[in-house]
Amino acid sequence: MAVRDESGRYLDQESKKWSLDRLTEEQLREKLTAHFVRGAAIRPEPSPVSKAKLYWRRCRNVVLLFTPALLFAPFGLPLLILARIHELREAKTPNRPPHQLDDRIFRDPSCALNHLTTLVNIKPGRLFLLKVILGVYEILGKTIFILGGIAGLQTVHFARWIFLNNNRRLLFLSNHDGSWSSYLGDFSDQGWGVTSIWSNTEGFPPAWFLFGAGCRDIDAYAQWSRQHNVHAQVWYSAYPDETILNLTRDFELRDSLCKAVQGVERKAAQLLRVEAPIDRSDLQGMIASGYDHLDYSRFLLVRIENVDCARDWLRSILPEITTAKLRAPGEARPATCLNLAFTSAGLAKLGLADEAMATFPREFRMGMADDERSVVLGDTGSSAPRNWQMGGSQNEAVHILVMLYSTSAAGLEDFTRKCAILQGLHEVFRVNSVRHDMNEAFGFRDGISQPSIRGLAYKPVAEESLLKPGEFILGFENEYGTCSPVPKIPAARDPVNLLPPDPKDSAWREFGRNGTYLVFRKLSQDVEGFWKFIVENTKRLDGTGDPEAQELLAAKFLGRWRSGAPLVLAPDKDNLALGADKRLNNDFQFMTTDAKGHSCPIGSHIRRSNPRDSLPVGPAQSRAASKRHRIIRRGRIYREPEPELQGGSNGRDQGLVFIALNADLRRQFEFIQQTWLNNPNCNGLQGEKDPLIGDNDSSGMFTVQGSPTDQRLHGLSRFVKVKGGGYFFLPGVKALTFLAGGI
Amino acid sequence: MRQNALTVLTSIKPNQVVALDSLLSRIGANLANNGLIRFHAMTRVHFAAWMILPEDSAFPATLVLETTYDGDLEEHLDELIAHGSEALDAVYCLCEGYPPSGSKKPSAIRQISEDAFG
Repeated sequence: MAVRDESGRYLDQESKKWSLDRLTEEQLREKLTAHFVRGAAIRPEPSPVSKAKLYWRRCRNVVLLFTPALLFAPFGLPLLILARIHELREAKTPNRPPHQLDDRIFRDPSCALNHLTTLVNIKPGRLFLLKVILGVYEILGKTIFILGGIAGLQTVHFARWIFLNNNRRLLFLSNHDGSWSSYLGDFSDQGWGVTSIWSNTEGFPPAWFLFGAGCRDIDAYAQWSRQHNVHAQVWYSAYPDETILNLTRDFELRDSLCKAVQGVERKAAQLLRVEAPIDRSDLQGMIASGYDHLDYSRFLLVRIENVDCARDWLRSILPEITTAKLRAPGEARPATCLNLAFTSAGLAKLGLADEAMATFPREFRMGMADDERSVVLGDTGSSAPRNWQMGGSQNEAVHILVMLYSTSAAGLEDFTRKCAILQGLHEVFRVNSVRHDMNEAFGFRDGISQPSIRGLAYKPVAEESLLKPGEFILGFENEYGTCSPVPKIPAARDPVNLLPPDPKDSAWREFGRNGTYLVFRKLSQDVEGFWKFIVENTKRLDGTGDPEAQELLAAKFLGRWRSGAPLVLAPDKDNLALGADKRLNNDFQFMTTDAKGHSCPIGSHIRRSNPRDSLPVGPAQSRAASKRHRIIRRGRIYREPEPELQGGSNGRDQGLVFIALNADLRRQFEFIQQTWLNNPNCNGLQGEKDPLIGDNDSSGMFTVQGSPTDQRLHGLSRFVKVKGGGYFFLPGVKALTFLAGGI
Repeated sequence: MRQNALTVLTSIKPNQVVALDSLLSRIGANLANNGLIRFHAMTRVHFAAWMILPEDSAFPATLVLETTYDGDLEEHLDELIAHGSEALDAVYCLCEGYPPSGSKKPSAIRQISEDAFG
């Protein structure tokens, strides 16, 4: 009952947040299971004995009883004849008058459960027959009728017969479902069992060969029952509203949920386990954490002018580097965090020779601003690297990305001074970020869909969000079952064996182990242009604005409402509670509820960037494929203080410091950018790119699927421009130490 | 946990049937808050009932206590005494053979119960 009540309470609570009727029964069951897995107030425990076990026990008992039943069968006929002789003789004797008739015997017929007490005298000479019959029924009750019913009766909770007064009277005590008359009706329908017992007592309607007739005479049977009932002055039921059927369903629900919860936990335990443990102390912390408790951040792009000074500086700030090491119990979260990443040129500058640099992937060595990469990324037109503020072909070279985080503005200033750029290094560019909420510049909640790393995740998450570590950490197995190449250096360059050896070739050491690639982009958002487009395309016929339509169309662009509530789950209006629920707002698929994109358009940003089960290869393969093209996003909003000439609301440049982590730039970040976001034919679309961040050129299209017809919007411009960026390598701490220690 | 049943049969003292009927009816009419027994506090009990088998020409009036519970009898009796000692005292002092010390001596009521059960 507790499990059922908790399930009902949870579903009621959820239905207030969003419409559950969009979910299939299977999805509802999954949600319920997830609720209990997360630690609901109670936990579905398995029944002491499962139904399957009882079933097999009954089968075994049938086999075991078969031989004794055969042996005793010959005695059945004499007993029946004996009973018949009694019946014929008793037919000539009038029944004794009833000993009591109490009007209080009938409890409230509206009660789901009731109590019945019957007290009756045993007929002379019938004790032996009665004891045999009750003895047989006791054996059957303990061996055969063990699946929640007695000879087809599904309404009896407990029943017992007791011999009283030196075997002269029989007392029957029972707790049953329904009213007295319905209970009698059940017995009357079943017939033979009741008759075989009660026909041995006084006043019961005459039987025929012990089992026949008797209670089939329902009126006489009811009268007899009424006459021999005893009113219970006190009757207590721990579950007065629960019938056998309710309880059976409760047990089934509890058992099925228990099984499902155990299955999920087993699977989660398997998923959280990794073949090789991850050395958290060697991971830079931003791989494991977005430092969400630190609202102030600063990103410094630095050029190395003097290598020795750079190494000295690096060595001096190594103790400040934030790692993914777990905090000790009671240890506070750090008030400041620091992570460092290096461009290909930066690593070369710090001494990685050509043979080592050749072990890095081509796209990293080329850099984000390379023409070939620009084509792949869609960095064209106003977003082309020649127009960038930093990292582009016309800008100063960048070697190091210094990422500083703090709880306060003053704290950030202090921390920046502590990690001061010393002589020999030049600060090329700086972006500051102050986060007031989790919304990005267009006004939508950001950072909702994030993968978790198997081996680093500390709690069970949805399987599809839990990715093998090799997707984000070099040196580990990825979702293909292989390892992305780990950049190496010749072993001779590491005489003190600071770096781990290459397991395949002792002549090399793994510089890249526990590192990953970092994508850094300053994305300027044309907030004014975006909302102007939305307003223009949602005007009523009389030319006035329609705020609700504006919100809906903007949500269609993204695939979520401002709150973060996904359109798949909240198709008609925003749902703040759903948006704020970190688990629910990312717990959905497309094909099961919105295959045609009527809620969340096929070309919307979230459906392109993480197609989940909606790729044309089919849901299962699509989910597997989607897991192979994920990135961890660590972006921060920025808002420049001074007005700029280009773009931005009120002339202000604002947008996102986009930071993504992945083990394979080409397979992950670039694939998402090229194959999904900027692909005009993504998922069966024609001539459309991502409506929010695609490289549209004022002639872009966006289709909002609907019934009976789709709505097609034209004239989309580029609402998000790239203002700079670069590909960086985020080394492990040992590799950082190696860089600082000289090569 | 295994389910079990307890049935306790006791003879009612002469001329106490009416008083007992009145007492039990009072408890039965207010199961939740009768001040004598807290059924809802018992975590092992499925059903419990008290009834008087009326006296007739052949048989004396008898009180029946019927319970169904989880676990063993010892734990069940402990629970009955813990949450219903006042009721046990009040009810069984109107019956034959109840110890004067009442349920304050759990062993005594246990003995009564077990004797009757057997």
